[in-house]
Amino acid sequence: MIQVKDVVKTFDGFRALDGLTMTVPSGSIYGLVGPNGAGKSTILRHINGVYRQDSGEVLVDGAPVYENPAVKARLASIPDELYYFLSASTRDMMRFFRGFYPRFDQARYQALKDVFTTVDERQSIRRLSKGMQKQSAFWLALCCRPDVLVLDEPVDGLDPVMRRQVWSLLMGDVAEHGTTVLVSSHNLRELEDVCDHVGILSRGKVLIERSLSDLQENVVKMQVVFQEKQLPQLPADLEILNISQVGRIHTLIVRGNATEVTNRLAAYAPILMEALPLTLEEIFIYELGGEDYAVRDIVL
Amino acid sequence: MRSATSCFNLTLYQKNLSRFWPIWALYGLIWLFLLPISILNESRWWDSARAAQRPLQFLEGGSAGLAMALIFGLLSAMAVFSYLYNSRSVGLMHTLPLKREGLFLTNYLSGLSCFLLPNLAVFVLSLAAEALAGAVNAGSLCMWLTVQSLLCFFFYSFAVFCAMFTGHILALPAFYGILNILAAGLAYLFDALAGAFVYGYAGIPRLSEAAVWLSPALRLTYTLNLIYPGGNGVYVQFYGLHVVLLYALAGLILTGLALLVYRRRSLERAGDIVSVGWVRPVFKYGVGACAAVALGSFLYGRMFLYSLPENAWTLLSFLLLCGAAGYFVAEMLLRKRFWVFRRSWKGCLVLLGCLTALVCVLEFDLTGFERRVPGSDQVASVQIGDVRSAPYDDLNYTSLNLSDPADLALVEQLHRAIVAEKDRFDQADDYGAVQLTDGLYVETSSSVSVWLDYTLNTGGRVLRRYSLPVTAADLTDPSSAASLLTRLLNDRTQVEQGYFPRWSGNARLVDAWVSNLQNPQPGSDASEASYADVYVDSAALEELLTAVRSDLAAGRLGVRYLLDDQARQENCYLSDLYLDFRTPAARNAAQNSTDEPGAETAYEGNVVCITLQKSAAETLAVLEKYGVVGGASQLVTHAELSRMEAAGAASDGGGEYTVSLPAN
Repeated sequence: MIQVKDVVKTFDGFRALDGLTMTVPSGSIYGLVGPNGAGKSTILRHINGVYRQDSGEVLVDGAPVYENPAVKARLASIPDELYYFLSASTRDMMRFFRGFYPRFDQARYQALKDVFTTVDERQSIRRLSKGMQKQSAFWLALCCRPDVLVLDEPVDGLDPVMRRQVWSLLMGDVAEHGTTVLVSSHNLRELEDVCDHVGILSRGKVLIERSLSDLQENVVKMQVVFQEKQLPQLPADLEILNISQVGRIHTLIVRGNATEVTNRLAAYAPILMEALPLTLEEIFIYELGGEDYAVRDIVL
Repeated sequence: MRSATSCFNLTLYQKNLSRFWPIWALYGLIWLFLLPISILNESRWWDSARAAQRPLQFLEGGSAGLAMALIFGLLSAMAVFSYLYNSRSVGLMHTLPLKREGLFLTNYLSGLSCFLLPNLAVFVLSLAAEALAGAVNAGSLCMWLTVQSLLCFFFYSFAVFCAMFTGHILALPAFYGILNILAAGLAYLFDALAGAFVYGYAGIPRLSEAAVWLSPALRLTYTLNLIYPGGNGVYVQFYGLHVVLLYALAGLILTGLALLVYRRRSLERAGDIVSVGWVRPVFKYGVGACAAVALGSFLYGRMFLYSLPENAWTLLSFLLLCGAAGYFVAEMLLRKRFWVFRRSWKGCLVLLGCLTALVCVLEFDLTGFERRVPGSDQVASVQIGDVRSAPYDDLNYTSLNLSDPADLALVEQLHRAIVAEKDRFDQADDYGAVQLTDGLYVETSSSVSVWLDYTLNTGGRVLRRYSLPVTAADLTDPSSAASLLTRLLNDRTQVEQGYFPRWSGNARLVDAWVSNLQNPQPGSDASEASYADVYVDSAALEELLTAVRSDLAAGRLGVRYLLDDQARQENCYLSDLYLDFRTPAARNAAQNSTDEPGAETAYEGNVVCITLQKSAAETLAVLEKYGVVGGASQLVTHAELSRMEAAGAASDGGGEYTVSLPAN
C-alpha cells in the first residue's frame, strides 16, 4: 500500500504539492488524474524516492521511500520522459538493472522477447522510435518484478495493439502477484477500463479519491423534462455540479446516489426522468468545474 | 524495513568505467607517451641521471602532471556526475535502490579510478621500460606515482565539490576554473582597489598568502619544484610534497563536504546554475562585487583614465555601473530569463550601497589605516625595501633591515613625516626635473618608492608603500621625510651589511678590479679617450679590503644620495670597485665537475660592486699605491666628465675599452 500523508513541496515559492494526501491500496490499479500542472508527476517523483518532500510522509507498506533502498528495490517506474545511457541497448540496460534489483527476472526477460517483438534488444534505445522506447521501458520494468509499479503517462506513444498487450501484462501481474500499480494519465477512457481506484488532483491536492465504482455511484447524470419549460426551484441541499438544457430536456449532474436523487426529483412530477451513469471523463470535468477548471464555451 | 547503508555498487562502478572510457583511456595514453614510450625511445642514451630526473620533471609547477590533473580532474567529475544536470537522468539514477551515500561514493570512486588505475599501469610499464633501457630508478617513479595520484585526487575532489553546487554542466567548468584562482583574483582586485583609495596601502601579507593557498592551481604552480643538489649521486629532488599532501588532505575534506551537500541536494534543481539555496545570494552578490571591482577598475584605469577626472568618485561611478551590470547578469543566470529588474532591483541597491560604503571607508580612511604609524616600542624590526639611491652599485635598490631601537625611532619619525605630508605627496607630479648648473645636469626633484615592512612584537606584520617626492629643498630640511630616509640609507652598519652580506664572514677575497678607468690620450680629442678595467694585484687584496671597510665605517665610502645632484656628481667616480669573494661552499662546488647540476648556483652573489667616491681616502690610497689608479688609469667623477664633455675635452663612449690584468 502506498500512503501519501499531507505532503507539501515548494519550488521557488510555488506550492506544487499543497498538503497532498492519498492512499493506494495494495494490489490495486490506481489512476491518478488531474489537469496540467496539478502535481501528478511531482507526487510520482516523491513516491519513487527522487524528490524529498518539504513536509509530510510518503510510505510504501508503512516504510518511508526516500533514501530507503529496501523499499526502492520493490518499486519500479516508467517516467513520462524516459532516459537511457548514451548508446545503451535494451540488453545493456537489462544488465544494469539486474545489478540493482534483487528480484530481477532473467527468465521473464527472455520470455518477454516474444511480446516486444519489434524491439531489437541489441539496438541503442535512443535510436528506437518513441513507442519502441516505451516498449523497452515496460520490458525492463516488468522484469524487475516490482511490488509497486509507478507509471507516468505509460502508454503514450504505444499503438492500440501494444497498449492492450501492455495493460494485459500489467493486469496479469496485479492478479497473479498482487502488484500495486499507480498510473498517471490523461487518457481517462483507458483508465476507466483498467483502474479500480481513482484520485483526482487539482492544485497540489487530491480532490476526490475513491474506488471507480464508488465514484461513479456518487455522481449521477439526470435527464429530466418538467411540466414547465423552466427548471423549477430545486432544493438547496441538492448538490448540482452542472446544469444544461436542450429544448425541454434538462441535464443535471448531481452528486449523490442515483436512486436517492431520482426520488427527490420525482417530487417535482417530471414528465420524463432518467438516471445515467457518468464516464470517468465526465466526472473529471464536472468535479474540476467546481475548482474553476470547467470547459468554457469559447467561440473564436 | 530500513535497509543497511550500501556504500558501493559494483554494477554502477563498472557501468561508469565502460561509459566514460575515453577519459581514462586518453589520460593513460598521454602518460604512456610521456613516460614508458619516451623511455624506450631514449633507451640508447638512458642512464641513471635520466632515470632519476625524467619522472620528476613532469611534477614541476606548470608542467604536464599538474595540467593533466587539473584538466582530467574536471572532465572526470563532469562525466560521473553529469546525471545531476538533467531531470531525466536524475530520475533514473535516483529511482535506483541505492542510498545517496552509495550513489555518491560509487560515482566518486569510479571517477577517481579514471586516474589511479592508469597511473598504476603507467608506473608498472615505466618500470619495465627503464629495466629494458638499462637504468631503473624506482624511487623517482614511486614519487611520480604518489604525487601525480595525489594531485589528481585533489583536483578531482575539488571538481566534485564544485559539481555539487551547480545544476548545469557548463557552469561546472566555469565554477571550477574560477574557484581555482578566485581567492588570488579577489585579493588582487582588493589590493588594486585599496591601492587606488588608500594612501600607503601595500597589501596585507597574510591576506595575500591565504589567497594563494586558497587558489590551489596557483599555489601548486608556484611551489612544486625540482632541486638539483649535485654530488653524492643525488641528481634531483622533488620539492613540494608537503604542499601536495596538504592539498590531498583538503581534497579529503572537500569530498566529505561534497557528500554532505549531495545528501541535502534538491534534485529538482537540475538545470539551474546554482543548485544550493543558500549559495544563490552568495553567487549574485559575489558576481556583482567581482564585476564591480574587476570591470570597474579596468574601465577606469585602462579605458577612460585620460578622458575623465582622475579621482575616487569617477572610479566609484564605474564600480557602481559594473556592479549593477554584474548583479543583474547573475540574476538572469539564476532565474534563467532576461527580465529580472522588477524583482531584483532592491538587491541591486543593497549591493551598490555596500560598494559606496566600502569606497567611502577607504577614501575617508574611516578605519584609520592611513594614519596608523606603528610606535617604535611596538616594532621588533622593520625592513625598508627597494629604495632607489645613487650611486648605482650594489646598494641601489637595497633593503635595510633595522631592529636597533634608535633606528626604529628614526623609522617612526620617517613614517610620521610621510603620513603628515600626505596631501603634498599625493599631488606631487614634478618628478625627475633637472637643470643645467655649471655645465652639469643636476637633478632637482625626483621620487623614490619606499616600502616599509614592519614586524611587530606581537608577530604581526604591517606593510606600507609610498611614493616619496624628493627635492633639493627637502634634503636641506633635517625633519623632512627625504632627509630622514637619507640618514637611514647612510647608516654605516646598514651600508656595511648591504655591501657585505652574511656570507662574507666565511668568504675569502680572491680577486678585485676597478672598472671604467679613463686613459686620456695626450693631445688628442676627448672622443679618443679609452676606458679600461684594471685588476688589483693579489698581494694588495687584504690591504685593499681593510681600507674599504675602514672607509665604509668612517662614512667616506658608500655615501648614498636620493638625488643625482651636484654633491653626488662631485663625489662619485665613474669607476666601480669589484671585489670577488669565494665562500668555502663555492670553492667545493668549483672543484666538482662542472657537468654536475648545482655547481654554478653556488657562485651566485659573491662579487661585490662598490662605486668609488672621492672621499674614500684610504681605498684610493691603496689603489694608487699598487698602481691600479694614477698614471694612465685615471679616476673621473661624473661632474668632471660632464665638464670635460661640456668643454669638448672628453667623450664618454667614443674611445676604445680594454682590460688590464696584473703582471702575476
